[in-house]
Amino acid sequence: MTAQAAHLDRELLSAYLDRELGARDHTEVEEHLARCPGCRADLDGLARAVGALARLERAAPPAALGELVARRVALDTGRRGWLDGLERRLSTLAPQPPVLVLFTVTVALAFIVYSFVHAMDRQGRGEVSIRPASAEAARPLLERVETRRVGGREVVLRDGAWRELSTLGEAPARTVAAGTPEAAELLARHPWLAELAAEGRAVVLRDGEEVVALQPAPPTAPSAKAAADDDR
Amino acid sequence: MQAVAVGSETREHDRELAELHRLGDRDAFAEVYREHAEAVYNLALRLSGDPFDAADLTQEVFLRVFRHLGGFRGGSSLRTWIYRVALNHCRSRLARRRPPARSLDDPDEPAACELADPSPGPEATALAEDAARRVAAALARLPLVFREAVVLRDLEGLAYEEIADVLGTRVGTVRSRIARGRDRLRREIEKEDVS
Repeated sequence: MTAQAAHLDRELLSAYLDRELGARDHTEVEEHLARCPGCRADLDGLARAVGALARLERAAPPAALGELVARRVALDTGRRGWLDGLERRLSTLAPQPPVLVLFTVTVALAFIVYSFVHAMDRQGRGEVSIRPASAEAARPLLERVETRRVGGREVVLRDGAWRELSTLGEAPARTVAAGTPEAAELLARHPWLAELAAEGRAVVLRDGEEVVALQPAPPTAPSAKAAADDDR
Repeated sequence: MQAVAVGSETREHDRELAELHRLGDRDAFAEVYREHAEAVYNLALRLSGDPFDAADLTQEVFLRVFRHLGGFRGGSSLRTWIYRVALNHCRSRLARRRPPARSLDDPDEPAACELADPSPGPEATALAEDAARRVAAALARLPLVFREAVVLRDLEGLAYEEIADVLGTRVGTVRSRIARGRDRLRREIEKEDVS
């Protein structure tokens, strides 16, 4: 214990601030502080640093993070069967009160039964015909999301473009057209792009700090000769 | 500040989750994620200084947690164990990349605290944002060993003993790193205020 010294070292003051000293040391530091303005100023300085950190608000993880973790786990473990259930579980961070869940389920069931009876009634009266929903709409969302690992990166097919997982939800800061010198530089930095770009889809990736979209080259116009050949 | 002592109930709960995970119960991992995602994300955010890196790091950390949770035996609390996994992963990732410091001269550069929260509360005035940006930037300039200690103590609220457990070092070293980290942080902030 150095509380009897001319001045207290900052380590001791910092631990005092955190109430991490034993009772005896704590008392000795308090007594020293009562008679030493220099050490009180040092303590204030440390307290200011702690107070400044309190300005940093805690951040909520992005809403899609649970889904991404589930996907990552499923990809890594090869347990595709895990994905559906796990993704659903992780996407709901806050546990719902049982009463709320029960109420929601009851209302949903009542609505389904009512809709079904109502629809059957209308169909019976010839007002509507019941058609099966399109196969696309009936498929679960996850089946329509294609994920792939290219060059050690995971990409997902979203809205017709391959996107790196870390870019989901972000708009590209700039767009690079295939075949331009800029695109060549991009491909040189990210050789894994070549495989995806060859498919003729846009690729959204993180290039350093920014999100960039690599657009495929537009289809070339058929030449006059090719058109003539077609006519023949 | 969070409780220092980890209750036996918590330890029992932690061991139970690990055991259920070992047996293939999907809910166990989901519960671990729910309980610790925010802490891991915030730790990654403050160590990396970048919300997008933090999201990446959090995914990777939980992938490791998923792989190794079955081996958790309850020697420490699950919280401490997850912090250790997170910290080790952040260290190895951050060591391979650019320094996290951001320039304070660039007013367009958003602070990590802003980007992380897309819906700032009414208190997030321009002044407060500027202050938070300066603090985040000053924190990002601390050497990693000090930043780790300060973040675990002042932002995550761990006790010295828990931090020692997470960092794999002695309590005396933790005490020293926290004090030096805070002192440097104070000087960094004061330097900005003067200039």
